[in-house]
Amino acid sequence: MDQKTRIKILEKELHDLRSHLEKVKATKSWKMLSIMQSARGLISLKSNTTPKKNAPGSIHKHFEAKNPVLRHLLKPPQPLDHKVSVVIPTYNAGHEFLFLIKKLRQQQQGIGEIEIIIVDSGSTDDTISIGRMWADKVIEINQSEFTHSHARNIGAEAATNEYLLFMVQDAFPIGDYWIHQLLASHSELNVAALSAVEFCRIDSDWAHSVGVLNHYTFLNSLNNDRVGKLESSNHISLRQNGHLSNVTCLIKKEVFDKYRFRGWYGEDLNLAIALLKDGHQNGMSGLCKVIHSHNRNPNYHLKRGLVDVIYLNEEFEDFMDRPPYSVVGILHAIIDMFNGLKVFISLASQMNSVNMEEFREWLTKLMSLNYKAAMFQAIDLDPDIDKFYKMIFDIYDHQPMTQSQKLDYENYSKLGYDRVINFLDYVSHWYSLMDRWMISEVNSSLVKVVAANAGIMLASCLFADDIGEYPEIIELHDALKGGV
Amino acid sequence: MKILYVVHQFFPEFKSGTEIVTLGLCRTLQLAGNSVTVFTCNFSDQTQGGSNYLRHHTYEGIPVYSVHRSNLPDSSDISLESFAHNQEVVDLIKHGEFDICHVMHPMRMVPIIELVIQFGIPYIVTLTDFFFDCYLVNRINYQNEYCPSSEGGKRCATTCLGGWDKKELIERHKKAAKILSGAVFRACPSSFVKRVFERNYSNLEFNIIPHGMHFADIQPGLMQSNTDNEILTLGFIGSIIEIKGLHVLLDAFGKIDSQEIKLIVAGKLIPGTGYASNIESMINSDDRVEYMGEINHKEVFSILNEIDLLCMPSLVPEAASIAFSEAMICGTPVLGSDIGFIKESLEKSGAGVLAKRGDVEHWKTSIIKLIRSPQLLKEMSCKTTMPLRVEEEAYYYEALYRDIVEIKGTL
Repeated sequence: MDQKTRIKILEKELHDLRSHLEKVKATKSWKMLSIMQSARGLISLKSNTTPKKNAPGSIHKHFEAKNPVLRHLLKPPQPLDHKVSVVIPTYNAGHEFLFLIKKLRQQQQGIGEIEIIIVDSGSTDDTISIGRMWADKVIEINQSEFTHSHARNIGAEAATNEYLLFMVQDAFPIGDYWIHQLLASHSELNVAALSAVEFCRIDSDWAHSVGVLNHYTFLNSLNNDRVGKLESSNHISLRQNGHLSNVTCLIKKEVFDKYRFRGWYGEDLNLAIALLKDGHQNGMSGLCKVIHSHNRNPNYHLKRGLVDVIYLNEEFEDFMDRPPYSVVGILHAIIDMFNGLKVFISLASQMNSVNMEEFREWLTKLMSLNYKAAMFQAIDLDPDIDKFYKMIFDIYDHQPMTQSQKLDYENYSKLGYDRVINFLDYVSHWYSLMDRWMISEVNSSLVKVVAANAGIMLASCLFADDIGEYPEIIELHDALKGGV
Repeated sequence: MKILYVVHQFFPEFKSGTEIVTLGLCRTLQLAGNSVTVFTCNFSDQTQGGSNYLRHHTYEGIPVYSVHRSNLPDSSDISLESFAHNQEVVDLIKHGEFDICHVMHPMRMVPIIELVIQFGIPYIVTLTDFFFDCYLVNRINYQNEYCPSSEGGKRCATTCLGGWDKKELIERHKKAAKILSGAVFRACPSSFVKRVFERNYSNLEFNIIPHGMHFADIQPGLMQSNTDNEILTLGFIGSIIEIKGLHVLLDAFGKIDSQEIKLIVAGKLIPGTGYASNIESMINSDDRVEYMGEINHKEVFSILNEIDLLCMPSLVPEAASIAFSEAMICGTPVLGSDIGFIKESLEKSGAGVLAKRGDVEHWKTSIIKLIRSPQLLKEMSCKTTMPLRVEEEAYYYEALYRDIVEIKGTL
């Protein structure tokens, strides 16, 4: 395509996009809503519901705290005699690491003995000095030596207690009997290894919080304990029943020593599946949760989406139903998602307040428009993401797609679109009315959701038949893979 | 779950302890996938929407409904009286599909609690202070003495009658008992509060769920401890009102003839009051005292790391104290009044020492003793224990709500 033709196409696409925007703006839903109109939120509450019949008096006659963590707060349990070694890999763990390690020391009252082992891979902050003051053992390894498996295996080798509890440096127990309860559940559920559902921090970003809710809903353990055993060898069954996570993972040392962690990534899932295949059961506790979440930049979400897909595809032969036909359709889908996002953000930024249902409706419309990948629109919320997006835009050759490429485009667009809608479904459950503060929060989270989608899509490119024709994509993949 | 929080006042107009606790629960439980709504009273509706009567706005993503103070009886700041709201409010509670209601403070909110009861919504109560049992809130009677028990309102009628009719005080106590007994669960932020309420409502069970602290507000670099051992730095953080006893501390501090101590004072001083003038002149007359003015929450941690000792000269029994708990996070020991939550906490942990409430001489000798015993400060610092963080508190309450809703579903 010559330059002149390309400019003409771009101009037409821009014109089409502007027309779309004008149409959206002309709709009733686009008109600015004053907060005064928010009484509609109240009207929507007046649905066909009848008052609840149970008098509260009848409830407190039957009330008894069932949640074990709450029960232990209200009435401390008898200490257990078990001895536990906590293994935490660290790297520049930050000032909050002190809180974790002090909190772990407070767990002592519920159990026989606690040993804290830090495996540090070259921290330059106070991590090592905090470790030396509060931990029992500090093992230092070179940064180049670090893998998620290796650091934990070294810590486990140094452990002297009956149980190993693997944790991460930014996790935090709930209450002073948290380890006690994990031990009790490990025994009651009769599992080889037990993990805990994550409970998000108050400063968690919404994209992460929705991801956590989705993940543990997928594992069927959001608010309950669940035991998994080998049921089928398909990847969904293995992931749902394996369900271990190194944010918290309690396992007897003698069992762990037979397996150890393996691999460059996903070492917890790898261990989980090895245990299942040998006839063990694994547990995930939604009753004894652990405080853990992130507030990371969109570029991290991009990398994480990419690395997750690459890992899962390596671990499970059946992970990908059908490899994509071509890189082209996927790149087109990535560009369209970013274009839709950019348009949405620029529109949403003009709003003062909006009813959540209408907010969702606009985004649905914008995301479903086919922008034909002809425009580059910087997102302006994250320079790394704009850089990535521009690279994809430059790699894409903007030729009309073949039938099979269109099929890829549609499949991957739907995947991305569904994730955005899923995010909004959660947010609309939380809020009926969005003010400027919330619109800004949603915008920044949507960039992360779309970035994660882009990472997933980019990883999928690697499995396309024509990936050999796109060395830039392979280079980009290699560059993004580090640091997760 | 759909959770209704009922609180006497809320952000952005009011930012004190109960409001901070309520906001923390709301935000954390939203992120855990729940729908939360706050019902409160507003004093200024400049930025709010909704109808003329029932206003609706959001604060940091929290949906808030409120009724203006002028629509409530004047006495609702001290009474627990019933009064009627308009149909909009009734409809909100009736058709709001709330799974549970959490009463954070009953002041001005009794009619809402009564609607919650009327429509069969299970509710719990957190006793953030003593208002249920003491219309003066802080359990210090008209004779400036600590009052351990209302004795069913009879003692209030004897020592704190004020403009009340005796029968009204008895009725107030009965209303409190009725609301408390209707709650599925009654939470106290400290063992002190639990003990006080158990004494006054002996047929009811009270449990402790401490307030959670906002650890996420502690920024990198704020946990660097003060290494200057030459000077003992004392600190006061909080509202500068008479009951907080800053004048006692300043008086005691002024009587100590030493250049090896300094005092940092941080908090809002309400200008134009006689108390404020006195405090200002006491601060200005001593070069060793540094006044920081009103500070934001993140700055609290910075000050706690700069000082060697947090002083809490409160003249009233605190139900709980955010500043105290934040000092514990930072490993900063406390010199506090021998009353209420502070007394019980320090006696239990050893993370500080007590001085007699309002006794300037005793505060003076206590400070001098600490100047001469730096080792004691270090020992006390080692005895500080981690308080709950807000996410832990939120998790406990979510578990509680879930247990209650589950039981309701089986009945």
